[in-house]
This record gives sequence, structure tokens and C-alpha cells, in this order.
Amino acid sequence: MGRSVTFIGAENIISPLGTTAEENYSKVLAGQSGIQEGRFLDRDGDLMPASTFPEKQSIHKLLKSCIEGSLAGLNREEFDNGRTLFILSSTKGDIEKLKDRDLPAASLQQLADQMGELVGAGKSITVSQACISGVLAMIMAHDLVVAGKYDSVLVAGSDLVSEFVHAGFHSLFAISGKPCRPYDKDRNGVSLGEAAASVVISKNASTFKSEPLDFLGGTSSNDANHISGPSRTGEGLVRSVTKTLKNSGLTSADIDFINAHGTATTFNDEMESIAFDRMEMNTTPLISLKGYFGHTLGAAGIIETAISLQSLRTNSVPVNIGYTEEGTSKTLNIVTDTLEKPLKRFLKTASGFGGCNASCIIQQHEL
Amino acid sequence: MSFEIIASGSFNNTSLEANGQVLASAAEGCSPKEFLREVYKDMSIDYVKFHKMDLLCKIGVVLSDALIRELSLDQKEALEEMAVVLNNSTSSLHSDVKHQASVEEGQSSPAIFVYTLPNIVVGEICIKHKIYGENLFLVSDAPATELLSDYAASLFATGKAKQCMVGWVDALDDKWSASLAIIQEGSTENSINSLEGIFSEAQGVLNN
Repeated sequence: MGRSVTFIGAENIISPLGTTAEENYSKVLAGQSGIQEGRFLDRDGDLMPASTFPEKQSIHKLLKSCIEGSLAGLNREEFDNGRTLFILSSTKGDIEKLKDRDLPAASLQQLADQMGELVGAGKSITVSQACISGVLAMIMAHDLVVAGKYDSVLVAGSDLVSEFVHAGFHSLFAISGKPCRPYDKDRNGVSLGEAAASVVISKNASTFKSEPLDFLGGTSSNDANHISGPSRTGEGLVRSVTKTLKNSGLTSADIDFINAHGTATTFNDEMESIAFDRMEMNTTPLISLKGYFGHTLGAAGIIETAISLQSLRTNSVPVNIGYTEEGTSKTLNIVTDTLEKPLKRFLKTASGFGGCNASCIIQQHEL
Repeated sequence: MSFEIIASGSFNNTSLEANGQVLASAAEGCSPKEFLREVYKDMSIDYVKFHKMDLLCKIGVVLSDALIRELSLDQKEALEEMAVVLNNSTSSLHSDVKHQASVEEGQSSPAIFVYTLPNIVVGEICIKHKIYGENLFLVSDAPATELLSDYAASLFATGKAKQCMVGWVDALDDKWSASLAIIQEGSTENSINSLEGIFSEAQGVLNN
């Protein structure tokens, strides 16, 4: 199959680091992390590091502000043509409602419908595919635009730091007592984060006020191995990246940098090193952004892609914060000094519970 | 863009059907739990991991097994690359409520937590049948037949899959409603209409 191109842009991020994609990116480039020690009090009375807002957030308000920022970057007469879709990417939605056992209010679709209305989308849907939700939602958007079903899709993701998620990861011994350190020898688990991020994928470059980037789409693959443990061979990730490169008519040598998943758990980061080694991508500059935003679950794929869109726009790649010493069995080229050079394209990957893996490629406009 | 349905079926609290044949039906007065146990036994599923799964996964695994058994040998050979695209209304609320209760009691358990994501059922189906294909889990109040159909068709058009398991698997408390189809690239006219037929009885279990 030949390469299919859509346009991606109007990226926005609201995180503890800032309220626009540009502000978040400048903080990231300056080496500032949203993760702070002692932000989340768990049931054992321990204060754990996390990337959280100073005030408790409503996921509705957070998503709304984020989406409004993306809409402001669009030529609305182009976008509002009645052929738009809204996709929410979230694992837990309005999780606080679970405490009251208010299941309808906790349902993801209710949140998606409210946000879809704000966007003026003809239809709205939720992608809920664990930690690959964001990447998968963008891939789905691309495929539906290429198939001619929609002209533009606004994809927005958000999850909040909650006792629910914290206790769950804690029971798996997957929460780090110190800010997370992706790929490092001393990594010891995730730091949770909360944020919202949004992007627009469109068939027309003229939908965007500033120049968009080219989205080549992507693929997903299951490890068919374990529901909560990463594959020991990186099988699903290898299969997904191989398919994504092939469908784009590219090889691993065409990738300037990899924005990988890097949760900072022992097994995830090890799995990724094995997968990238199998694909001979050990020398490709690689970063995880979890050290800046924590693991933002349903928002992660979008927030991290939005940051790398800023990288393409500014020809710079931030360092993988938290990394000092090699800690995986296969060598990776972790970015430890800010890269400043002309960048053509990047590969975004994600892996999640349920054995799922996804990858996609984004490049400079009209390469 | 079109495709053909090579197997389809449904599973709810009263019956399990595949390709128009009733494989099991609940006897009067039989509780949902008993019915599920009977179906597991009658179908000779014999899968140790089944007993660890939450209700959503059990329902998905039973119905996907029933459909895969209907495939020809040739069709089964393509399973490795099959896409699995599922949809429901309650996400993983069935296990979310249990996990939330255990968190409040200060006793959270990984055995429950790992099921607090709706796509785990996709993972369980992939593990059982060694399926490495594309994955997607959508949440909507009612079956998103048009989106499921459009997305599946796009997987065929882009060469990402030759077969796709597509459908609805919803479960909460002791209620469930599931309708699945295995489709492949083909020339059937009105593919969406035929999927609509299959999903016509699928429903959200939250407000029923």
C-alpha cells in the first residue's frame, strides 16, 4: 500500500508545566519537570511524587480549555463544515464519580458527547485502549480521514491522577518513590501525571492557521503474550513499528528521532530496548517524555506527540530527563544533550496493558 | 468499500448463538453465574486463565471462541494478523467498581486492577488465539456500527488486516450483551446494513 498523508497541527497542552503547547515545550527544553516530590498522599500515608496541578481539577473544564486552545488554531469556516469527528482518548474519564457509584456520570461517552458538542462535531466517540489510547486515537483519525469519512478530526486526551489509579499501580509495585527515570539503571517505576492535550488531523492544510505537519498514520499490534506484563521479546512493538515503516515507504534509517513510551518500569523500558535493538534502531536518538509530565495515561500519546510536533517546528529535541546511566540490556541512544539540528521526521511509539502497542510517523510538511 | 461476514454470533444472559445456531440457552430459573459456568463447560473451553478473568473478558472470550470455531482451516490460518476492534458502553466499570471498593478498604489487589481497562478483553482474546493484529477499543452508549464498519473497511483498504473481529461486548454486575462478527475483505453489498443486523440486539447494559 502507498503512503497516505493527512495534516496534523493546532496542538495544545494543559499540564502543570503550562497552558499552551509552546509554553509546555519551552519548559521542557529548559529541563523543567512537572513532577514534584510529595504531591500525592497514598493510603499508606506516604507522599509520592506526581505531576499534578496545584488545585484539584475537573476533567470537563480541563478538556474544555484544552480543546478551545486547539480550536483557536483553526480556520473555523474550514473546520466547521459538518464533516468533523471528535475523539476522546481517556482510560478513566471522570473517575471521581466512581466514589459516589454514579456510573452514568463516570461513563466515558457522557464526557465525549459533552466535548464533541463543544467542538461542533457531527459525531463523537471514545478510544479507551490503555496507555496507547492517544496514539491509537490519532491513527484512527488519520485512517477515517484518508478513507474520506471525515474531513477533520479533533482528538483530545485527558486523565487525572486519582487514588484509583495510584492504588492500582502501587499494588503492582509499579510506582516510583522518586520522580521517574525512564531507561536509567536506577529506574524504579512510574510517576503519575495529569494533563489534557489535543491535536487536529485534517485532509486540508488550509484547516490550520499555522503550517501543519504531515501525518503518515500508523499501526498497532498485540503481543499476544500477557495482559499486564510487557513481552520479553518486544514482539508487538516490533510488529507495529515494522508495519508503520513499511506502510510509509520508509526504513528505520529515515527516522530522525524516536519519541518512545519509556514509563520507567523495569520491564517496559527493557522490552523497548529489545524491540528497538531487533529493528536496528539503537543509534536513533530516543527520548521518553514521562520524566516531564509523568504517565498521563489516556493523554500520554497526544501530549508526547504535541511536544514532538514542537520539536519538528523548532528543530530541537529535549533531553530524556531522569536518565544518567544505561539501564537496559540493549543499548539505546538516549538523548542526554538537547539536539539542535534540522529534523525531518519522528516515530512515536506507545505500549500498554492488554499487550497492545502502537506507532505512528509525523514529518515536516511536504517533504 | 465492502467486506463479507464469515462468522457472527451473540451472547447474552439467556443464550449463546453462532452463525444462527443456538449453542446454549439458559434454563428457567438458572442464575447468570450458573449459565456462564454451564456454557464454559458445554463449550469445553478448558482454559485455566479463564477463571482469573473478569466478567467482561469471560463474555468476550466465550463468544470469540464460538466464532473462531466456525472458521474454515484456511480462515484460521489468517488469525495471526486478524484485527480485533471492540466497543461497549460501560468500559470496564464492572471491575472499576470492585477496585474502587477495595481501594476504599485499603486492600487494592492487582488481580482486580489489571481488569480496570476495557481493552483487556481484546488482550485476552489475542493471547488465547495468538493474534498479533491491530487492536482498538471504542466506548459509546450504543453500538457505533458506522464507525466500526468504516474503521474495519479502512483496515482492509490500507492492507493492515485481511480479517477483523468486530463487535460489542458489554458487561456489568451480572448482565451482559455481546454481538461479534468476523469479517474479511469481500464483495458483499451493503456491508454496514448487514453489520447493523448483527448488532441490532446488542445493547448497553448500564441502563437496562
